[in-house]
Amino acid sequence: MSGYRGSCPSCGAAIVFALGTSLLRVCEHCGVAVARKGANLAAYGRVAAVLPTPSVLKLGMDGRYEGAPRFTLVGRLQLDYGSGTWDEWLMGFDDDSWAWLSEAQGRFHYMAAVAVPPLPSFSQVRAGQTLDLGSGTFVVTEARRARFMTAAGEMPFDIEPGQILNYVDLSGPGGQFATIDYGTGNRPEAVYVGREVSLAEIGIREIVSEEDRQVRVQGQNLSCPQCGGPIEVRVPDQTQRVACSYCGSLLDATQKFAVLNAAEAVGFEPTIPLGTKGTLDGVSWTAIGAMERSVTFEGVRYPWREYLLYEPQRGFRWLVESKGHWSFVEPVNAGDVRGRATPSHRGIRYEHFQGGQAVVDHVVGEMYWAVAIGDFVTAADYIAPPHMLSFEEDEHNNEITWSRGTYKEPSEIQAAFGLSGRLPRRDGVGPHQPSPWQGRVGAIWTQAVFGAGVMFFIFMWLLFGSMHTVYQQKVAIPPRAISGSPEAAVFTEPFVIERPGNVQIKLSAPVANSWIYIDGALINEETGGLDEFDLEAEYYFGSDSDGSWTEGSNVGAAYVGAVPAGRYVLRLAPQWPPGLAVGNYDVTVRSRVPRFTYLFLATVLLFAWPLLAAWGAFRFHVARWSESDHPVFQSGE
Amino acid sequence: MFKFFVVGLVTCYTMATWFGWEPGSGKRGFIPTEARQQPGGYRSYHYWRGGK
Repeated sequence: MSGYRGSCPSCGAAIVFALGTSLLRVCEHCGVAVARKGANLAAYGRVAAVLPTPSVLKLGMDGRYEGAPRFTLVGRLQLDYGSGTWDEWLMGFDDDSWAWLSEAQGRFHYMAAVAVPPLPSFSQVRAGQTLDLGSGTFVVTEARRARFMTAAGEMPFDIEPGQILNYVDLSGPGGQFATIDYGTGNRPEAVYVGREVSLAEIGIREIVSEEDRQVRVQGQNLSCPQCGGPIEVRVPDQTQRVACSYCGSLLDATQKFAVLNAAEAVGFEPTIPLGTKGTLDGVSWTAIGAMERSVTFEGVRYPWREYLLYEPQRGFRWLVESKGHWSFVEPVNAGDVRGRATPSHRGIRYEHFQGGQAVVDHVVGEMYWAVAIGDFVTAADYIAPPHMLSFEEDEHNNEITWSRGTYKEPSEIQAAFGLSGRLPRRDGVGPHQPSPWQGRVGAIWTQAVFGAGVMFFIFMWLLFGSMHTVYQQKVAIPPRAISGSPEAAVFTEPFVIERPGNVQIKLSAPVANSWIYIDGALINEETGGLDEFDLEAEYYFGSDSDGSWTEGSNVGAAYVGAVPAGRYVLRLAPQWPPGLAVGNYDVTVRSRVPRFTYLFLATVLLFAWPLLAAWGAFRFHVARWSESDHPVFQSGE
Repeated sequence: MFKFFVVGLVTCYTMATWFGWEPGSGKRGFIPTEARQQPGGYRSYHYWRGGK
């Protein structure tokens, strides 16, 4: 690095600008911000000491990133966006170039300057807007003003501490981040593009020890100034607000726990006690805070509870409980979400479920942002069970966030956190609760169609390949025979049934407004086996005021089951109405006759299950969407 | 689960069709040997009038 040396205009101490491009440096001796004005140095006045945040970084640390020359942390900038502060570290490379390393909530983002493309002015930018930065399309996630609070080391710009800076944060595809720096004006001055990095990736191996970090945040009053109850702060380096677990008062963790919102009682009792550890998907999380939020629709309040989980390596996650349904929620890079009406993320398309204004009603424990009772966001939920994609835009339209929830069974939550009491009872179907029929109904229908196909094939094969007529005869009833008398009965000629199976005996008689009944028997001549059956044909016709009509048929059939192969005869003993001669009738015997009725009944039985499954899936679907903005059935009101 | 139901039902249908099971059929009887050995055998008048 090609430095610049001079003397502090305030105290005369030596000033060294490590970077040739640095324009501002805080004098290490007197704390005055010294700006380079051409060949001269100008004093901007004393800057405040940096806030004692327990950062793992400090000035002078060095590292290396992606083959670039070695860098050193030469500057630290603290900004305040009104609801909290964050640190930006200036990375000065050996080739005199520089980049930013931003640090917030335990996450680091490397941001390097790129050419400024044509961009709208700051006043024209809105959260959610997409902008082309040359290297891709980015989504504006935040458009804010921040106060340049204080600095240490040197800065690549010449701005007096205390001034308001305009900036826009953007999220791009593949986890990219970008910041448009509008300086103190309305026109873009610089664009930085980068991505989230780990300290190991940028070669920083020695970090500030945990003891040192804790020393920095000690000295805070860890009892509630409202009720005197003890306050346990589990993530002191990132907590901005703490709600007392005893009185519910909301305290500012960045201002020595000043009371922001006094209360006398906690708004709700968390189902998961704060401080409880739970392992979800192999990660041990600690519940450090909880809040109750709600939406009100047509005068009805719909509350839910959100538990803030923390794990040092992964940061923060949420566990959301609504009507007994649980969801594990992770932040999503807005640049990876495509579309808004039916957004897609990681190749999954989501359907809009509901939207509304979500309001913070109660808070308990720690929060990593400056939460306030009554804060509200415009929210929209999109579902693709078991996932839910949630969009939130703050009340000032300055910031948007996307998050993705994954449905969790209550039993899993209970086991993970070792909860002994009863969890809230599940009410109805959760928006992204996986359907028990998911992926099953189609398979069931496929199996049913396959089964029906097999049965139909067997039916057709028997019909055309196995069934055959074994006997056929026209039988004449003696003219003087009496109905039902032995004289009217006949034995047929013997016939052979070659293959076992059922036997159909078919009767065809020229009955007209009459009937014929046959008391029959199929006799195995070889074994004496006897199967009795009844045959009947009746046929009536006529006309009345409605026209002509007919009833019945002059054909009848009987079946005998499981008839062994052998030599058979039929005994046929007919009966008919007295005084109405039938004359003769035809008898046909067929072997191995497929029964369409049985095929039909088996098919009905086969498809009963898929139909019930489809009905169950439909009912689940209706119940799921009943609480949405798009119910399947509209209310009758 | 349903897979087994399908297999079971198709098997039952196939067996019933193949072997010609008829749920409505009455129990198979047998003409006694002595009736078959009488003059006229099972065709005799007495057997069908009251012997069976």
